[in-house]
Amino acid sequence: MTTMRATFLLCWALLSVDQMAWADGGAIQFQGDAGAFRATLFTQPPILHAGLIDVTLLLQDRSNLSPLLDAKVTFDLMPQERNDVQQTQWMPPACTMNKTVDPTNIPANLGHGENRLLYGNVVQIPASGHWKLKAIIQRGAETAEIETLLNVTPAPLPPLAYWHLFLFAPAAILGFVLHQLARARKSHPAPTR
Amino acid sequence: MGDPVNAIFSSWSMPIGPSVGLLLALIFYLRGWLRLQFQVPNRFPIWRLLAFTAGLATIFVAVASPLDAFAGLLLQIHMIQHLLLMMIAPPLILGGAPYLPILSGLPRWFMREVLGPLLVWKPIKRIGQTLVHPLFAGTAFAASNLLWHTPPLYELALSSPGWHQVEHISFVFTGLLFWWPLVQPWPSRPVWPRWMMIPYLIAADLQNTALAGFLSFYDRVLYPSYERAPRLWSSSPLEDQGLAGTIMWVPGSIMFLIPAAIIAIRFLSPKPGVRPSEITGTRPPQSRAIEIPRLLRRIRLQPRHATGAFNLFTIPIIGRILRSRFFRRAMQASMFLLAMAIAADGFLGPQTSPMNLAGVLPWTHWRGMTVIALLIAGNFFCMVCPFTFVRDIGRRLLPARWAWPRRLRTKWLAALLIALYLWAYEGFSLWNSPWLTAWIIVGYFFAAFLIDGFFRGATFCKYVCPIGQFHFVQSLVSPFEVKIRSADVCRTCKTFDCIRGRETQRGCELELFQPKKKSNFDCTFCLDCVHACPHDNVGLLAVAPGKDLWNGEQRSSLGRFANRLDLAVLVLVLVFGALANAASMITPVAELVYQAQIVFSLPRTVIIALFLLVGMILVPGLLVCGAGILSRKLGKLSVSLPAVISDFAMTFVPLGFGMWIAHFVFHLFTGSHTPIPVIQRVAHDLNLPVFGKPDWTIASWAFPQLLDFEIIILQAALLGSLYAAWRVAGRYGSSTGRCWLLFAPWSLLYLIFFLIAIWIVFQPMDMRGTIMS
Repeated sequence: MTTMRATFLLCWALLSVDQMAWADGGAIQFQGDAGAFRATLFTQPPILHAGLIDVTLLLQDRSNLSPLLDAKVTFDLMPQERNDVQQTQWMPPACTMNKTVDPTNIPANLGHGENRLLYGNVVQIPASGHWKLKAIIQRGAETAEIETLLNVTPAPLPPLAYWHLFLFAPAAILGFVLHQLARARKSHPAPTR
Repeated sequence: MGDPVNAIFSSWSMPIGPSVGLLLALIFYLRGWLRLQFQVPNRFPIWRLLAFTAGLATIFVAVASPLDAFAGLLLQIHMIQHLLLMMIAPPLILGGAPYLPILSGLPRWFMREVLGPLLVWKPIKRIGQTLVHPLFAGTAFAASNLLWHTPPLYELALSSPGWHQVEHISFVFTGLLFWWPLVQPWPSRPVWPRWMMIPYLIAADLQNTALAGFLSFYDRVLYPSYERAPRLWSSSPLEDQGLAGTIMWVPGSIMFLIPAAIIAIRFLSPKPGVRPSEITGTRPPQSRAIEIPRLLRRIRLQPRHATGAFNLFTIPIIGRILRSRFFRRAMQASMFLLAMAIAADGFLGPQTSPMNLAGVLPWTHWRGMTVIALLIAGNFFCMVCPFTFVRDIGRRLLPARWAWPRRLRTKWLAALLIALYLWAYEGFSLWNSPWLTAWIIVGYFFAAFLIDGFFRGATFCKYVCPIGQFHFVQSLVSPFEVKIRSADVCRTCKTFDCIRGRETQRGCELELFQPKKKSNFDCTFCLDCVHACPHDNVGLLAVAPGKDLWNGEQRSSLGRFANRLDLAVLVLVLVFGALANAASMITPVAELVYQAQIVFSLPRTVIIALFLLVGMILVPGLLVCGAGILSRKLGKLSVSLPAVISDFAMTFVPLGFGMWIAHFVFHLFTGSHTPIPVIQRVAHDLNLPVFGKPDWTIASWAFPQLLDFEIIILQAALLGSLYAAWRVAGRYGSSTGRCWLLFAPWSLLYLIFFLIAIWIVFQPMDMRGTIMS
């Protein structure tokens, strides 16, 4: 029993230190030169829905492609046109508590994801439609901006977004039925000739 | 962080699923290995443990190290990752002969009750034998390797983290299958002769070479993602692909050819004294057939040592604290003072609920923390209940001699009070009125004081207190119970101090005789029985949560569940009350109530009363009666309908508790920080400038995954209710077919309850107790 409790506690500790799992690149939304830099902008998930997305940026020296890790990067998100905002993102009930985060001037950090070469942060896209994502790069005296257009589709229906969680009960029931069958066979073995 | 090389080597992560899985595998293996060390030390030397640990560590390195972080940018890195998962980790894991250590490392009850019957089931055995047959294993390995390297599937894995994980799982799984006939982990038996492993390995190497050669010499970039990926420093995508092919080719081939060479050398030079059958491996030695079942019997089927269940009192410091009378009294006094402070603020403080202690602490925090305590431990609120403190004072000041009227010695009154409380809570918006909340607290204290001041025993707790009844019912699924440690000790006891008490210590006031007590119902965790027992035979023991729900035995003070319709009604009121209480806070229902007020021109209290009458009493009552009638007819039962309903009503407890947890925990997290500014405000009002000015803009601990938790807890609750009902049906039904028929109507009812509960948690809910409400 003690081992089981220790196991449970260890798992719980692991769960609590876990961070955003998908901060690791993704689909390339922009790649090109900006001033003295070469920039590659990724989003995860690759097909964008309204809601939280992970945005990361790889910044390289344009001349020798070596990664640059001493820049200051911020993201700005804005609708392409004011009336372009379509279906508002559905939020889990508890999240309506938190105020909508200002989608401008979002700082991108190097320690955000698994890949420490990428500057990144989680960006909340409030609604579907066309959104402009801008990355502002500052390194010493040099400044550059890149901009890309994101086509954001409406978020899936709330229960559909959680479909994987609903597998737990059917899987347990299936396991139980198999278990009962196995027990029944064990207690009533087939007659032998 | 300025140096890119440092940044690359520090790109480690902690992927949650694999980390937990690997950790659990290691813990169970280690537990089993230590056990087997004593049983068969020659079969499980230390190198097996090291091999298994190294195998798990290899998987961890593959999925958590910079290899994973850069797999999406460089194909060569991705190839190394795949080689680790397919070629290195599986043989190392199998080298640990993990089957028996893991099985004996799993909890005994899980092995005996859950996994055991499945493992000895013939269809499962056949599937297992097929999977590790060299023909199937080799084919599956080659298919997995080839298919996942086709551009569409490879791109799919690169673009989706979920599919990437599926790819890795299939590599490890087919790797384990492939290496199984080669490593042949003990106690498995070889299907093919050992020399057949040479063509087996060569065939695998051929497919690997073909794929590697194609990757190395193909003059175009095979995977578009790598063509588009940013180049680190200045290598080209084609060079990267060529290097990936070489990695697959050379180390891959070495991994196949070295074992093939070793087997060939061994085959060609048999050691003197070894029997030919052992070399060919076609027939196992005779002793092995005897050895394994004997070992299995020794580790699995031996009777369990009488160590008893885990006792919370045995934890060094916590156990002593829990048993201490002083601790309990001090906690009760503290809770009493807190309740007084809440009441005082309710009367005198601002009447805006989120700005008042009476609007925040009782309705959001106390309720949330209580259900969490019930879920992870037990009825600890009753242990430190502030009303007990007042009850004891009442008994000292007043006669406390009368007997509680016989007609009222049931749970009917408590069920009625709970229904009234739920109506008053919603109808008078108690949560939004600090003043009314304060009156309720004071009224509650007076009721406890007067009832126990005039009547003998713990009358208030047992027959009146709605809060206590809530805890009694929910604690039926708690993991700890006050119960006897050894039945033998009780059998020899002549004094029965646990119920009668002695000069210096009273016995159980709720008339629960420990040897016949079967659950937490009616137990206030007062620990009087623990202190009264002269044999120190009563503990706070770990039990299987919910095991008493299907137990039809006679219980001390309660009798059989089947004979207690009042108990069943109390449970059903609390269960459907959970649904109605949560539903009344969601937007669609709130709008419906508002529309009904306008259409029928009736006050809100009347509309709420009608809503609860229909949603909590009439419809559930009809559904439960319908399920009872159907279950009785289908199962051809001779017992009465009230008995069937009373028995099955207890199986609703997990569902009701699940709904209360989902609901209260939601409010606990959304209103988590609200006491901080309220305490600041109280201190400010009292001219105690210790906490500064109240900051009403403080954030909450609400997080998106709160809904995930609610969904999972509701599913666990559904499963708990289904299992409990299945066990009750098993008690009535003589055959499996009849059990299914008895069980079916109730399972349908649980499903309806579950779907409504899920619908509720997806709706926008009133943020009560917060400024936003």
